[in-house]
Amino acid sequence: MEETKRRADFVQGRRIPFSIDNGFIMLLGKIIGTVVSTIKYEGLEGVPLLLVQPLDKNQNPHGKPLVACDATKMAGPGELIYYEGGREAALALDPWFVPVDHTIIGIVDGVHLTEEDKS
Amino acid sequence: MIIGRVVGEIYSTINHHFYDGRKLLVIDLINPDRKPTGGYIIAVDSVDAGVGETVLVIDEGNSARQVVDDSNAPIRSIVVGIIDEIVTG
Repeated sequence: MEETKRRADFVQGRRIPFSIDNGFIMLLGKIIGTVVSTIKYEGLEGVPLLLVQPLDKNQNPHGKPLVACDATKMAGPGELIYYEGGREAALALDPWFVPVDHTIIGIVDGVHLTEEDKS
Repeated sequence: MIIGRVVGEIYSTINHHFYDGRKLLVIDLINPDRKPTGGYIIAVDSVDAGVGETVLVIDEGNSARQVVDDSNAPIRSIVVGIIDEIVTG
């Protein structure tokens, strides 16, 4: 695990600032719960907040759970989703100039991997 | 930009309207010697890349929005090239 983490952080000799381990890229996730908040920053009213467990490509949990906004407004616990991190997370919402760092972009129907990569 | 190998596709019907009709690829990050580093990324396809191909991925929002020609698109990772060969010295 530790070895994988270190290798994932370095590609072509330099550190990738946004890797699977700190979550700021588009990755798969599973919704493991909901978060309820009544007092929120303006612009975030009505935006569902969900607890997301990041997954690796074989859908095994990888990393710590995070709270993400839901741009689809349809996702619920147990569903497989993909989410965007960083500044782009805010662009998926309406209004878009809001302080969020992860947003669920879509609900996954299926992931098709080649046989050799399912391990 | 980073290099990766396409290992699969993601299908989704309920998604942000920007992603309607766009192909999403699961991409393994690789070293210059084509060994997987252990990480992966999901990226939008812009060059019709397929499973098994080595690709060039941009993981930066402003560049990705330039490629799709939409300044408000919620997109960050995009495949912008198919790599034929990697030569290391």
